[in-house]
Amino acid sequence: MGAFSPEMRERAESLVALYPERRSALIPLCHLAQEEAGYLTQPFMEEIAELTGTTPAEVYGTASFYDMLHTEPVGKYLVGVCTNIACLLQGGGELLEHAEQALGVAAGGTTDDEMFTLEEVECVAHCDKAPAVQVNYRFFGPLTGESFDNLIAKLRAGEYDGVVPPHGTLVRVRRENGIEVPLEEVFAERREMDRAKAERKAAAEAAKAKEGN
Amino acid sequence: MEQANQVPKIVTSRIGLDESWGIKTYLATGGYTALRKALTSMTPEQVADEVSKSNLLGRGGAGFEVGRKWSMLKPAPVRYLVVNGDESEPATFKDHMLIENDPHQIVEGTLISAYAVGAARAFIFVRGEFALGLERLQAAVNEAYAYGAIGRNIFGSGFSVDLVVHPGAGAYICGEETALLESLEGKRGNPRIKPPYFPAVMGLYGEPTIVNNVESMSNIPWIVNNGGASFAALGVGRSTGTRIFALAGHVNRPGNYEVEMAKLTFRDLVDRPEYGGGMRLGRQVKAFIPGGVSAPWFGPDQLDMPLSQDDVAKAGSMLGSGSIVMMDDHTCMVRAAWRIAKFFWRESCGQCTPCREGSGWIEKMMRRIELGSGRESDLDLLMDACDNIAPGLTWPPQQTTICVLGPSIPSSVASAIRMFRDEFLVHIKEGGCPYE
Amino acid sequence: MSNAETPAGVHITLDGVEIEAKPGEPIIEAAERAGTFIPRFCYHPRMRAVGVCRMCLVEVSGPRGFSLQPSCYLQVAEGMQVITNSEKVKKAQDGVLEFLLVNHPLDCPVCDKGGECPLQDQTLAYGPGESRFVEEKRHWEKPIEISKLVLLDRERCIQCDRCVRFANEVASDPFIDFAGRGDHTEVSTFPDGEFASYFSGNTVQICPVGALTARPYRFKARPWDLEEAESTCTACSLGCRMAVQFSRSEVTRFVGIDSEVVNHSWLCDLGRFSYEALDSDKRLTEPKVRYRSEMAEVSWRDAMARVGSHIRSFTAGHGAGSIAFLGGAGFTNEGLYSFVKLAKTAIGTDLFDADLDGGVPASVVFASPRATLTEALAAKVLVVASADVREELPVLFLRLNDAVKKGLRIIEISEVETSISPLAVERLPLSAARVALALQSGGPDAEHLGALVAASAGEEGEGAVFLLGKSNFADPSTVYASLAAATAKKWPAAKFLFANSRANIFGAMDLGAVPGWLPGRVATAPSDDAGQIIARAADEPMLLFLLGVDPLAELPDTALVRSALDNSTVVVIDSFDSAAAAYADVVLPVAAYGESAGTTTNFEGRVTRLGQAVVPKGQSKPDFLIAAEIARELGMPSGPTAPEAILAEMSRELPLYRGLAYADLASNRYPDGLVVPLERKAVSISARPRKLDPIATPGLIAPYHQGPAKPFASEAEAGKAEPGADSPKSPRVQLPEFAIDPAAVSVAADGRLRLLLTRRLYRPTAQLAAAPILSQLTAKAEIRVAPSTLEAIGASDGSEVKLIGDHGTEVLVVAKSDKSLPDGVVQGRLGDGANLLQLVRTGTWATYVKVGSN
Ligand SMILES: Cc1cc2nc3c(=O)[nH]c(=O)nc-3n(C[C@H](O)[C@H](O)[C@H](O)COP(=O)(O)O)c2cc1C
Ligand code: SF4
Ligand code: FES
Repeated sequence: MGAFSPEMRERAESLVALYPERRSALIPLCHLAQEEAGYLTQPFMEEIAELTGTTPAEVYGTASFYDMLHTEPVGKYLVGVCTNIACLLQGGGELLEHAEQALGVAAGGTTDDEMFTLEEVECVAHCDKAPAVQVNYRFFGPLTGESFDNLIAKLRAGEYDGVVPPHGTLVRVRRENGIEVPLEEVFAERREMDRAKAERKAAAEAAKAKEGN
Repeated sequence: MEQANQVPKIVTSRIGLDESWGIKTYLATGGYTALRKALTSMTPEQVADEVSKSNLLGRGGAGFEVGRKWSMLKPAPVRYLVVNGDESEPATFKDHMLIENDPHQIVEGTLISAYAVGAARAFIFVRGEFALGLERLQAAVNEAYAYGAIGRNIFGSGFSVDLVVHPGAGAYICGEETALLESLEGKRGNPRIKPPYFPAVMGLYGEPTIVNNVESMSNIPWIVNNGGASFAALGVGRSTGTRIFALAGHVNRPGNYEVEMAKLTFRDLVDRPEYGGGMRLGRQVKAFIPGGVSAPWFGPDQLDMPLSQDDVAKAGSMLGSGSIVMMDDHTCMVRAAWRIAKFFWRESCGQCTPCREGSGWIEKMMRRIELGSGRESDLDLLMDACDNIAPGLTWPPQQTTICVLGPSIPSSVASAIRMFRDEFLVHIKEGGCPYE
Repeated sequence: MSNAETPAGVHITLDGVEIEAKPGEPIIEAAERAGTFIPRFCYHPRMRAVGVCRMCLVEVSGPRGFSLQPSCYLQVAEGMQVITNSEKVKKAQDGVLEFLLVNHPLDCPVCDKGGECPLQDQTLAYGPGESRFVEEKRHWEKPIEISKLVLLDRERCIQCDRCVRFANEVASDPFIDFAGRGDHTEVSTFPDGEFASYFSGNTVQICPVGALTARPYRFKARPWDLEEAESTCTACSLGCRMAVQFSRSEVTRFVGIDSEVVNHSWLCDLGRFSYEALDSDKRLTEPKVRYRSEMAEVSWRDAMARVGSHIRSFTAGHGAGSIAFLGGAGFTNEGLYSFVKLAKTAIGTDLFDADLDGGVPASVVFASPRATLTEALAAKVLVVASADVREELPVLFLRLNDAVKKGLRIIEISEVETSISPLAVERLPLSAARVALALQSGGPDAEHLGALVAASAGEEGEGAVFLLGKSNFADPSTVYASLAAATAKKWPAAKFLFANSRANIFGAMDLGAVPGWLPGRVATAPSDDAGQIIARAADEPMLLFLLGVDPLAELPDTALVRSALDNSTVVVIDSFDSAAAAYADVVLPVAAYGESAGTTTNFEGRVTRLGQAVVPKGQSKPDFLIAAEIARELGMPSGPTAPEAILAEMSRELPLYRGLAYADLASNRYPDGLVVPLERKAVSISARPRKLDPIATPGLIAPYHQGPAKPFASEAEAGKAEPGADSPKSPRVQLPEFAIDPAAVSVAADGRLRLLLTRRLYRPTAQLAAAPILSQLTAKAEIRVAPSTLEAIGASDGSEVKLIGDHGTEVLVVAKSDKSLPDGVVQGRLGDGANLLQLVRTGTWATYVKVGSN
């Protein structure tokens, strides 16, 4: 047992604690597993099932719905070339063709050295910099064939190490601990708010009725 | 509408400032004063009242009045507020900018709204691909906690709330509010069937829930500080305030521009130097998409229409997510529509038969035509398949599916065929794309 | 009986005609009752509507005019207008069908579902003439095995969500889910997992296309060659209604029938696939007798002669009391009646015990007011104190699961966690003996239980139902008799159901096939039970008739059983070869399930008909005929020899069955059978056809024989009394006194642990062994202990340990750690391999074992 390392398990449990229902943590936990392993391995999915009170089949079924969750290994860098409308109009299709040639793999493939997995992606909301490319969800653009090659070379050379972490690491800023508001207390407060509101309403109506008289 | 610079920047005022995403800049520019004002000197109803008065229309796509939505919230001890930052509508990139560059404004708007609707907990659902945005927003939440704006007994008002930043995982459909809630519950992002799953009645975990867009939330602090009436004084008719338009495609200066609602026309936005700066290479407009790829297309004859929700709706399309895509006269319309069809095929959740199968079929036909193996009969077939997803191909559309992703599929394909049938025929007769 | 019970109807206009609908029902149901069938795929009347296939779109009026809405999902509302026959509706439905066929392979000629496929049928009925789709279809790797029993062909799947919903909502076994998105959505298990559910076959039954198929059925038959006989499953005493389908004299498949009062169309896999055994080479098909040391096939005449001479010589040499009958709970009522008459009248022995499990005895069952399943599920509170319902009466678990979602409160009394535990508002982790003792002598446990019951039901237990059964198969039945008696005493107004799970055990009780009783719930002098008979047989010469049971596999203290069989003259009357058959002097082959007609009685006392589908295999004969022939061999009048006639005699002779007629049982009036004794009051009567969506169970040839009962339309019929209305009441039985000995709850001070034996659904029986695919599912025997106990033994999780019984028996078995167990007990789970039954001490209040690491 224990696909998560002890430190990650702790983070996993604090994620679960954030939500009123355990299952809500399922996707954040999948991201966490990818951070640790680069992709969602079966032992991780089993542990996530245990953490969220689901079955491994449900974790797999859920994860496979989402493009960012990979149940098969991917390269260190997931390179996504956008070809959706804004990028298409600015040469996204041609850029993808160039990327396929440059990396020597078709979209969906991983280079032999397992450095790059190339994807054709949908709009990444970077349209003012079209054609846009995302590398492990860090955005670049507008790119030409040449600047694409440059980017790849720099990634290979490690020049972007601080900016683009290896695939799986999504958010490097942690939620700071110990500041959750217990829901029970909030509920009590909400009931109080509702009561006060009802009182104000009644008072307002009474005043109105008086005015009317 | 002569002096554009007299119109306040309501949501983009900090864009471009140094570290605009940090709390220092935020506080230096009036940040969290609205929250303080709301919590310490206003009742929740008074806040909601101001928002109602502002007539702020939701900025997520459907354009529903925010105040009215709040008033429909079913009373219950547990209510939730969920902020939609999933922005995935192609060519829409305004929320992305707001999340990365002014996260505190979203946080403040969210907290005020949570107070107004009495939410027990607020969630900001951010598109998973926005890694930098997620980092900046989480950092902002941490700072806001430290500042005392989130958490227990905020500003001594007795009001407590927690705010959770929740990352998505890559699925356009999760922008649809009920799919978003499913996803937030850790499930496959399938939109919920209605009734009864209108979030305000039965939302997150079955409890009444308000779902609002990130840009909608960003407007709230200004409205509280300046009053709903000053917001409503901007714009025309139901289209009040300002709005960010994400201008993309063949313009010289693609970008996000916050302008007063309904005062400018599409042409103003495209041509003025401070906005689009004209069409690229001085070319002519062939067609444009006025509100995201779910919207039917417009031709150059509609460029003079004001940027008003109602005018655009009357003309048979929508302002939707506020994305405007300009296509010049060198654009292959078959290819453009095919790419959009491909998008919907890839993003259909797969629940409803017409959307799941129809999107794939339409994409295959469009591809065949673009690649030169089309038949003339394909055009009628395409229109008929579209009609089977959105009967009548009217606007607003009728639908055979649970959510409106279905009837969005025909928007581009049917527009392209209707407006550019000749171009399809050229593809078919010449056995390929004339623009290659 | 009266229409006053139905709440005020809702009026809707359907295609211009005003009809009345039930409040809250979906349009599709209201329309169907009014005679308008709306096509559908995803809708299933026993599951939550999801409205995803969109086949059932109709025009519905709303605030903004008419729009297309899913009629399976949208509920009727007063004044609603619905149009099902407009051009617009037709076009939408055509469109959906065309879309469904876009990616559906047209391999109907080789598809198992071809001929009974809703997609095929509705395409013919509603679809466009010709496919306009010329593109390439989506491809998936061909059928994949999602479990040992079920295969999935993803190319054929139409994503209707029936299977996933079933697994998740009905069975609570979410081991399949949708994976992927859009038109790449597939039904999937976890990559290294499987769809391990006792109920997996139901997904095959409800799949509206040929995507899910059952391995035992694949390519066995073509639907148009199938015939079917309505019947009742006899895998346990719940008695699920089902259709036996056959082709050219071979049983090919069982399909669940939707009985409103019993199984809601579901079956468990053990019941559904048990037909696998019918054709196996482990069937007994020829009469055999022992010549010197060899068994030889002989004619029935010779076999009967041997049986007759054994009976005569035992009677003459040792008295009729040296002849005993064990088993018979798998027989028909007619067979049981005939055998009991043979034993108790013709031969004159009292020794007959069909209940080898030693469950709640007949004296308690007869004396306790019995609830029907419908009453139990509608109870104010249901107290469950029995072995795990999912293992013993599987489909009852499904019904409970459903009822809990609709508001049923369950209190569970069980030392171990069971499938019911998550459904219960509370589980009292107490042994049956402890609760019985507490109820007898008071104390905190009794008060706690009392308060729990009182929270929902009346002081006297009004509105409460108790489901009681043996929860520890190492206990003597007295423990359960005491518990039931104490319960009935504390809550005199409560009703009961008993979880004895052998197929027709309640029929066997009613017909006197248990010690101390004669047919018709008539008491006679107490006599020995199966355990005592075996103990005697080990010492004195006896003639043992084994009626479809193998005591070696089913009774405790195996060594004793072996010496009893060695020592006795054994006549095996069975359909399947078993270990006990090796001890037989005579073997008589009985017709197996589906090979003979008759009736069976379920745990409510509900008598239903068994259908004869095919002729008995080889020389085998129906059970009642064998009894008749033995009687004739003894020179006795053999009585009637057809099931109708035997039932007629039963209802003539026994007040219990008065008014029951064979012809009534499968009739339109009593499609769900009748509960005996028949009630005197007039009740509402249901009638066929009970329209139920034919697509709910696509393979059923007569789908209209299922579904919720429809009140009789005719005034003349309404209010007419039940057939038993003027029959005398069957004798009322007094609840006997049982005292539980404190020894039943004492803790062994010397480090011994109390043995708690539980069973699983797939347990090694002769019939299961004869089913090639099902038998692979039998789990290995194992024990579970609390982690601290495991540590104390010095064993690790999953290692082998040695159990030593009080009589010195040693068993090696794998031990697992289980947090939910208390210290001081060892839970043995029966299964393949290690025989844990041999550890049981009979004749004591509790069995203790020593556990040592190996
Ligand atoms: C297919 C689809 C995708 C959507 N995507 C988004 C989105 O990315 N962001 C968003 O705010 N709203 C999106 N919406 C709209 C939401 O359902 C919802 O109306 C909105 O979040 C409400 O916020 P508002 O009232 O503040 O606009 C989408 C709707 C549909 C049908
Ligand atoms: S396998 Fe059958 S039951 Fe399951 S979703 Fe597919 S078509 Fe429906
Ligand atoms: S949507 Fe109604 S039957 Fe499928």
